[in-house]
Amino acid sequence: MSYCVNCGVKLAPSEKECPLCHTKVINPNIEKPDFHPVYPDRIDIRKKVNIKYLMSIFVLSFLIVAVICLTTDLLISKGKLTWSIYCVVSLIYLSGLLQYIIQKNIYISHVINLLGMEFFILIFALVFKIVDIYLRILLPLTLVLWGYIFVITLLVRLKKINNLRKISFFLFYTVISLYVIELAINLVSYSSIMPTWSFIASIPITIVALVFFIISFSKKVIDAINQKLFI
Amino acid sequence: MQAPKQWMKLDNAAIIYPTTLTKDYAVMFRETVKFSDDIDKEILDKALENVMPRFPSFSYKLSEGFFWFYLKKIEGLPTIEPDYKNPMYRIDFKQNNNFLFRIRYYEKRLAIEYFHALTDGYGGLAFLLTLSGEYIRLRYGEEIKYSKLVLNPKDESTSEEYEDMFKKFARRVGSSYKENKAYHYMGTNTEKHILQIITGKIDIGELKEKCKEYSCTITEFIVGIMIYVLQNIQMKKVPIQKLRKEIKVSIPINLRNTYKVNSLRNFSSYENVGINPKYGIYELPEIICEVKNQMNLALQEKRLNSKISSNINLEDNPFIKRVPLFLKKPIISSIQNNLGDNYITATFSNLGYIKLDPDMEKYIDELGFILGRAKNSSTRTSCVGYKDKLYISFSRKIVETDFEKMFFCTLVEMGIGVTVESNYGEGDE
Repeated sequence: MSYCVNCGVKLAPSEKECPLCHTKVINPNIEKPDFHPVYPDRIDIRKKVNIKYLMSIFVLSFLIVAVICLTTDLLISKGKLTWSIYCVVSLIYLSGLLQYIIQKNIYISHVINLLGMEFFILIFALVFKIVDIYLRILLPLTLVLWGYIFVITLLVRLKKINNLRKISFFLFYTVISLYVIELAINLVSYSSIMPTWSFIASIPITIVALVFFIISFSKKVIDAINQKLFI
Repeated sequence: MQAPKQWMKLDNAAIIYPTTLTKDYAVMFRETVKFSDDIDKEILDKALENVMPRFPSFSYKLSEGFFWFYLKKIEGLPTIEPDYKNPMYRIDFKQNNNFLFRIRYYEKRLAIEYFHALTDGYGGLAFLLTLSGEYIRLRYGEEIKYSKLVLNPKDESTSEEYEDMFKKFARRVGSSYKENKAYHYMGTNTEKHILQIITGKIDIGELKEKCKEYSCTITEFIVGIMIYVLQNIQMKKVPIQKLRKEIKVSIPINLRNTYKVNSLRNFSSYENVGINPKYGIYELPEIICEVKNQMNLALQEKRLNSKISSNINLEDNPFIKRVPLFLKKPIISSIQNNLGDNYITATFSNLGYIKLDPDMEKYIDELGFILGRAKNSSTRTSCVGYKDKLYISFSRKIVETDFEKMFFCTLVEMGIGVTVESNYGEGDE
């Protein structure tokens, strides 16, 4: 039996090196050491599903459905494309959602889906000839919605910031969103672009956000809150 | 023999475990017996067949109800398979005929890995030793002297063995103790299927001598050294004293000793003991004194009961009861993930000293007890005493071995000899 020259522990006959400090076992008295392992070599591991392969099957099946829709529409509508456009655009958007399964970076998936959703709505706007409304109200609203998705994702993933500060950031973003929403509505109705209701609503939200933000730096207050809310 | 029920509720300690199941993770532990000869698989199959009817509560599978998970009676036997290099990777119930434990063997070693919802360390050990006893009887024709841990397969099971003892003994007046967040020792995570185990074999005589010096038990001494080592690690990583967090070790407490019952299901509580390094640097005797006093307080029956009562009250809360499982499951799981391990730095589970009948002892060389991967903490520690040795196992999910190294080096510096072995060696990581 050998000793580790670094740690001073005895090493079981199975050990080629010290498991604690990885110092190699050198015993000049033993010519051919027999390191018989105490565990076998077999590794217990689940068979991994080939997600990329699975996704390509999904996309291929979507493609087949899209081709069937287009062909049927062309045959029924005598050479014109009508309802099949909606089907094809929806299928393209659905394929975009699959990104969440294969893409490891969630923010890239969000960007792809944001672009997919905008493309989806733009096609409908073009078909129904409401591009102006799309640009003035639908686009800003979807951007606000995606802004929320980005902000929430970011706040959930940030582990070093305490929860009160996260809530304050969320509230600050809500204030910005309110201004954007009112501006979009005003642009559609061609009224004054000066904010009114969003300004009134933003005052209490900003105050609460500021209070939370300031409190988030005081450990004593946080401890007191935790003590009161302790379950 | 009591007719086994077609289905059973999970006991109070077990209800949380199914909610934390993921593709790669299950709360598991492993108990092993090392025989003096290589295992004969055919005899082991026969021994298992004889032993299973004695443990009716082990023939259940996990099922999902509308409000709670529950256990459903199943027929047949679990599979016995060759052991793996990486033990306690998430149990695949289907592959194991739906049983909540699996049996593995390698040369002289028989290992049983349990999903914690089925039983705790004591119940698992009773099953392992009963199976080992039956195996020895069949293989060597030895007369086995049965005891509380080595049950007679021909005896009838009692309702006490599979009753939910938490419900039986809870006095419904619970109390919750405020806990502060504890220091977390982190490192580079290994792949999810890898669990690196280092087992140290220590002479019990030498250890007892040292414990006598500090007038403490073996558990208190080991926990004391764990805290001492973790304090040193935190001192290196967090140089500013006032920013240091509490160091707490969670110690499971076997309630069978307190309530004098022989349950084969989960029946243990836990206590988090530790120090607050914000007050200054603790010397080892001071830490052991803290652990000793905190443990003495924790073992008071009233305190233990208030803890199990508050858990029972929570389970029986009319609002929680009526929330469907599909809503309850993510909530419990996220509470467990975010809060469960927040209040502890490490875990130490001591199965105790196991004394077997000499006729059985001569065929069993070693015993082992290893805890599975923790979700949020890096390392878990467990131990079992048998013959003249104490087997301390560290199971870790990180590459770094600082904690284990400092722990064993401290023992060596005290003059206690340690022999170490591991499942991952040169170039395996």
